[in-house]
Amino acid sequence: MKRKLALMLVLMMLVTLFGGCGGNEESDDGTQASQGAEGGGSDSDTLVILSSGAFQGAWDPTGNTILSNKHLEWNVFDRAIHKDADGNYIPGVCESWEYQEDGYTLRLKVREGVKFHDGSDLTAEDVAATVEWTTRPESARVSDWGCQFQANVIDEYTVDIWPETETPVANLIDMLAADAILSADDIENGTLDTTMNGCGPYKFVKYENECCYLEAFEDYWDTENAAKMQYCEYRYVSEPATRLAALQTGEAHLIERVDIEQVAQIEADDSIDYTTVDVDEQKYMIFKCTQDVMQEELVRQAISYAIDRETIVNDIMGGYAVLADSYVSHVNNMYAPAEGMPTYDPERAAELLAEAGYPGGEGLPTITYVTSTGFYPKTREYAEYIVSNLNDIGIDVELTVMESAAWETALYEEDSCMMIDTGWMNVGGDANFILGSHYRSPGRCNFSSYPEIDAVLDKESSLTDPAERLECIQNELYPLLVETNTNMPLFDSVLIYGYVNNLEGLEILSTSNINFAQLSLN
Amino acid sequence: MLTTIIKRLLQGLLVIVIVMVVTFVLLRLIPGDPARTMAGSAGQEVIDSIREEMGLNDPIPIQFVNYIKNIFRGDLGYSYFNRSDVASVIAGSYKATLVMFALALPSAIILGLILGILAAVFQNKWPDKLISSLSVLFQSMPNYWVAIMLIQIVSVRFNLLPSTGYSGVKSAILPAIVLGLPVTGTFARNVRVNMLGSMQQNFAKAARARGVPRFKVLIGYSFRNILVPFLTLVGSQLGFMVGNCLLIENIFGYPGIGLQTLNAILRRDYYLVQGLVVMFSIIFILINTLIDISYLYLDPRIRKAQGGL
Repeated sequence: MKRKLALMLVLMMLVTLFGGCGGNEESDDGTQASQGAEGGGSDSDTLVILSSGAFQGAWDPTGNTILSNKHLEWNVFDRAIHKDADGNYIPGVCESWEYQEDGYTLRLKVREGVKFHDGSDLTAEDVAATVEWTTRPESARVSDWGCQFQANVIDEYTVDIWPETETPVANLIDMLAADAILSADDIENGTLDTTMNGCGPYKFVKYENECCYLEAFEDYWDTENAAKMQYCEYRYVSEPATRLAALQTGEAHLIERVDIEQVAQIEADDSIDYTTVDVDEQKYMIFKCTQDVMQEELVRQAISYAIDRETIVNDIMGGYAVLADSYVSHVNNMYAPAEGMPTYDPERAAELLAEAGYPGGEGLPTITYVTSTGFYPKTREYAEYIVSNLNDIGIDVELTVMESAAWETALYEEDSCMMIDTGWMNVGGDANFILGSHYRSPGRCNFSSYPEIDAVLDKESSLTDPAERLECIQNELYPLLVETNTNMPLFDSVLIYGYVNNLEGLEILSTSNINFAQLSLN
Repeated sequence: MLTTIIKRLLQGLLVIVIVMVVTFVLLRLIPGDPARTMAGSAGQEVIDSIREEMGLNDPIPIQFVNYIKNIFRGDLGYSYFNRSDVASVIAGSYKATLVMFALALPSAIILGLILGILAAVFQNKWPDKLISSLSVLFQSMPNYWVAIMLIQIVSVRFNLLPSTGYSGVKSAILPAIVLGLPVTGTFARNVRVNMLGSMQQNFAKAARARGVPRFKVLIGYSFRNILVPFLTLVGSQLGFMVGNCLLIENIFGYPGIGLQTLNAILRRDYYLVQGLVVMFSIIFILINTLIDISYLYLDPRIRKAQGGL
């Protein structure tokens, strides 16, 4: 009897080991579906793109600012207004837009015949609900819009939207050209997080094992720009070497963020190629302006003058970066050189340090500096170089290298360190995504507080004439940013993408978005 | 035997409880906020609302009590990053890892045994030297390097096997090789040493003196004698393999439990990490219990001490 019981127990253990995890057929299919969404595709009709960033499976576009999610949204959702290759605004799912007499209310005419992926029709109700949902206080996108918006449906295809501040908003058109149009039903039913129901060229099929499976949307309104490939897999692969190998073997057709060292490998392979894109992303040194000596502008300036950014750009980044000379990237709509921005000058740095009361670093506490690893390329390398730059003028630095989750928390914590480096990709396209986030009191990561900067930001964000706005930013805002020096821009990013030679239609926007629908395999 | 199994399982239960508590507490003590990882650069209001939804605003003891209550209901928790319950996430990714292990472990065992026995039989001759050198090489080559080399040669140069993803058994071959190589080396070295010792034992010499054929002595006497320590080694190497599978699955972009675990840790996907760690603990305990039970079959001395089968 005992023996039988023992055998039964052993059998139960074996069953638990090999079958207890209990997979179902559906998930089995998914893991095997490396070619074709829902197993429906084959090599020839499936586009495989490898993402360098992980997805966050909460699909509401207003719930995060995660770059890989934004890339996905760009293809699944559509936007009210589109931008052409020259940056001109052209109709999207809204045929026309016009400011009303008050100067801040925008009337949008919604295109008829546009369908969501669930088969429902797009109407003014959807646009109204989208604008109000996207700009609610709990939205991750509200800071880009500048304030909350309200909407009023005039008729089935006409809607008015206006800011609650009842003042003009400079980047409103940009926001309408950047943010996803959502279904009013999804907003009302609370189903935005569970799946993506857009009206873009690709419909979202499923997310499984770090891969988003997309399928061409047959009823896409813009037939000329409909998806050229039936299926698309957008998969997260963290290792750059693996991404490149998949490209070389033809398992992937397009890969993001090729390492600088891999360029030679691509050049030696006839079947693949690469392209570089100057993107709207800057890398910064952020000073935690409320922490110890970082409260002193002179100390912050001394550090900024001590950083040899030319060597970082030319040697560490291998030339795949552009020396920053402004507070937004050189491809941003509000780019203009910032006069007087610190450049590498160790003598000036030493003078400023002495002027601050710390000659040769004497009396200065150890500066705590945090950088990341495995998130942006070469951060550890340039962080170590920056430490040596600061040591050269007598500043003692304690560098902590953190993995991404810990670093991200440190980035947004006020007292995690005295300075931290980061990057900021402008997914919205407008300068306010950068300027508003970093320099409006309290600064998102630097916690700076300057009412005079707030006043200029208020002013520029209400100027709807781009030339007038740029002038205000260049002549009024940038001098204040140079003087207060709460963030020191290090360089503007240049991204490298690898692709198979038979890929056609590749166009990478400065926001790093790619229109997957235009991609095809020859 | 029944008492042994029950005793082992009860010990295992205690280990699982300890693992659960330690994992739960440690995860919340290390820096990093899942809400921040999920929302990116969103403002504090968004972060607070996500934390509330995740139940992270409750004190840690309350969170733990809720977690345990849910476990008793068969609910391992919810992965906010996958928008799915933990059990479904595990169910969706275990198969790839199981296939990889099913290729790597038996191959490593068979190869390790063959190489080890050959090295012992040809002690100090060229096969022994070759096998010993290869074993050291297998153990000392960094996984990352081996993986990249295999990808470059097998996938890129000759286009024989996929380099990334999972599309069936063929996708598991390269990761399984990288997983199995160091273990094969360890097995071979261990078998060689134990076989040499076993072949010098009096029972083996006596059998030879009685005229038992050499091969029969080798397999029926000496080899059987090393099985108990070998099984113990297999059990301990499984832990090593599970640890390695995190790295290997990451290099190959292989969508299994290892990659899921690594990503869950990096994102601070608390409930998924907890679920995966508990699952690993259960597997370890079951495997080690099975190995303990197998001792009873393999070694009459242990069998006798335990009161027989």
